[in-house]
Amino acid sequence: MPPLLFLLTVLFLALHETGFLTPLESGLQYVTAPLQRGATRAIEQIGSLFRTVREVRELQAQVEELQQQVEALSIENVRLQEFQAEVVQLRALLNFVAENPSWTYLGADVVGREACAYAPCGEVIGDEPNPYLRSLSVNVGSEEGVEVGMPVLTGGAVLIGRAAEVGPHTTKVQLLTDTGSAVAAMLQQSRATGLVVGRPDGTLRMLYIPQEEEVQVGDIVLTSGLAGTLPRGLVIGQVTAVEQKDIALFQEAVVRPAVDYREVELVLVITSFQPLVQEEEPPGEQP
Amino acid sequence: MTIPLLTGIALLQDIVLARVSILGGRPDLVLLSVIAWATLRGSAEGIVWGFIGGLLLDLFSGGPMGGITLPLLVIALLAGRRWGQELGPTGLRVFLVALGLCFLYHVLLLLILTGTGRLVDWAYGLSRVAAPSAVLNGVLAPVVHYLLSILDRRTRPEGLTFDGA
Repeated sequence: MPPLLFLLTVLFLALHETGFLTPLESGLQYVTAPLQRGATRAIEQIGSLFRTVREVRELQAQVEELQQQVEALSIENVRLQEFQAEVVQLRALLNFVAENPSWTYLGADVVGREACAYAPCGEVIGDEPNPYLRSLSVNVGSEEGVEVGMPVLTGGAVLIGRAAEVGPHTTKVQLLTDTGSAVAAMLQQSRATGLVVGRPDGTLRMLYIPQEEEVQVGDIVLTSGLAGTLPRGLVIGQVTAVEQKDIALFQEAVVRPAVDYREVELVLVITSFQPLVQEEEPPGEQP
Repeated sequence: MTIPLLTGIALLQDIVLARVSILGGRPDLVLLSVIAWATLRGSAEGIVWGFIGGLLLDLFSGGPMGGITLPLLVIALLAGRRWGQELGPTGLRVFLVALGLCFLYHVLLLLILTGTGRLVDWAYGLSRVAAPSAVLNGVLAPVVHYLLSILDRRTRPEGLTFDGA
């Protein structure tokens, strides 16, 4: 048999060179080509499997590296967000200062908040402890020129309260929401005047609005400056509800403060404003 | 069983091992199988393996039909002889036999290509392909020999003896 195979092979070579074997070769390749393709595909899939395993390992390493980067960037992001929030507040304060150059100001950081300094903590809404702030402590005091009664603002000409207790380097700011706070106010649209007082539930209420005045939800409430204790035109808040009774002499409005006092971090104390009267007396009757 | 086995080996060489090149040397699994089988079972069976494996490689490669088969037949014929019995352990003997026969296989391939009118760079072929391939296949030969010796023990008919001695 071996000699026959040798002979056959030599014959194949000779026939190939002369071209006689081409049809047979083509036919055989027609049969073997799918086999080759199938085997190639199978081998490539196996190779792909190994590559996948390797890639998974590489990806795991990349994920760990990226997680570390994410942690570092998250910390960086928190820091930048703090900067951004501070910039927003400072920009608002700066705009106010630029728009009101006649006054002199003292910038301060909020260093403390008290929820129950003026109103007893027992006053609650429903069964919940009262969550609203009543005062803020800022890090400027009499040594820096702060006096009792000076208006305290935050960005956007928003009045948040007045200096109530002044220490050498700290000042307790009585917020507008404090039940002892009363501010002469007016509605921006109708120019109707009234008195904005703090409520135990932490909201503001504008009292003594004449019945004939038209009060609309959404009206902006500003300081009127009538009592001489505060500058005119500072923003207090926005009317959210109107209470009008035919039998009453005056109508009332529920006012939402222009800012959330819990989020105030930077304030301006207007040190050049001289109050004519020390303070309005809060209304004796608390509805 | 021979045809499916050799088809698998030829496909493995054609698809996977053909892409492997170590310093110019390429592993040649069909060649090593033919050498190992001829060594284990003698020239006659080696030649049958060489014929089938060679034709499959010729078909897969698209080269001249018989261009790989003929060198494999020669290698099978030589491998079936009981060379180098005095060389020592089987591993060393298999390495040396594979080294020499692989180099000869490449020489025969180059001869056939030259004889069929193809332009062949002999110096490059012998130094950059044949020599490193001989070394590489010589190293791999004991492994292939060991695996096929297992197959040989399981498939050897009772009373079969070497015919190439």
